[in-house]
Amino acid sequence: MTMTSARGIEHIDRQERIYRRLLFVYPRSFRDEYGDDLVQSFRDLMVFTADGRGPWLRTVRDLISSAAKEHGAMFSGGRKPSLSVVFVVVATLLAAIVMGPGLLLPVIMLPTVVMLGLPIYGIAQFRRAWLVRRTTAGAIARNVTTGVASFAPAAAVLALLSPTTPDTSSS
Amino acid sequence: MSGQSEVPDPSAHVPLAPAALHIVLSLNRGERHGYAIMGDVERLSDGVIKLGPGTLYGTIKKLLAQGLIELTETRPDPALDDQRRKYYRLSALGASVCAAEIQRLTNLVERTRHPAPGRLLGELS
Repeated sequence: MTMTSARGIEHIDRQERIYRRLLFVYPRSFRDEYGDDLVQSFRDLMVFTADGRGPWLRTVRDLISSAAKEHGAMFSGGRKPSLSVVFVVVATLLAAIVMGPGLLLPVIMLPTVVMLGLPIYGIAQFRRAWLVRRTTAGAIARNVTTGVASFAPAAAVLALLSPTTPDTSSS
Repeated sequence: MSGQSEVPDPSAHVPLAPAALHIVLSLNRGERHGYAIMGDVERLSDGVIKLGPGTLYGTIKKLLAQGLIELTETRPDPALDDQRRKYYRLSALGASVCAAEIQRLTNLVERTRHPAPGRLLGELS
């Protein structure tokens, strides 16, 4: 069975956009070379797989393992991997060892990514904006915007967790 | 040095890692694009090996670098398929590595099924 109705195509387009954003976990060179092919294959998986959750389960597992491999390949190739991704991968693996893999996705990975991985990615984007400051305004703006956006989820979580009104009724 | 020595030795690439082996076996059946390879690998392995996009293209990148596979100039009929799709095929080296792998696996199976000395190869039933 395939999803080919107008609503089905709209749904697949949305999933494709989410997947394309997740490609940031790969090294830039791999993303530049194979990004469109990865997205095309993911789209094919969504179109030709009847079970809606199946492609995502396969893709998330694949994303984690293949991103680690690609960063490892960069290490062995003598190129510097993205600091944020290395941090997220190492922190996630350590957490999985300490707390068990069953809690990996809901309890460990999401908070690690939101509270630590994304802000570090944001810092890397600010650094990149500084490095490209003499090139184009567009590149600077793009890196600064991504940097600010990377802090947004962590800021939102902190805002939700902080006390709403300070207690000023002390006698 | 003779020209013969320039022919790469397939045994240097054997054994292949499981993902690479299955991709090579799939391309041994003809040119394919990414998703067709994923489907073929799943069928070849009876669903045991399900490649995701990242593993597929990570392995394709390695196989291209090793010269075992190559991009084809083939582009599908626009009426039938997306022209942006890239098609891959085995190189001459890839084909000999594939043959060497098939031979290695065949020998392995034969020796496992016929461990006693003196029995004829292929005497399975």
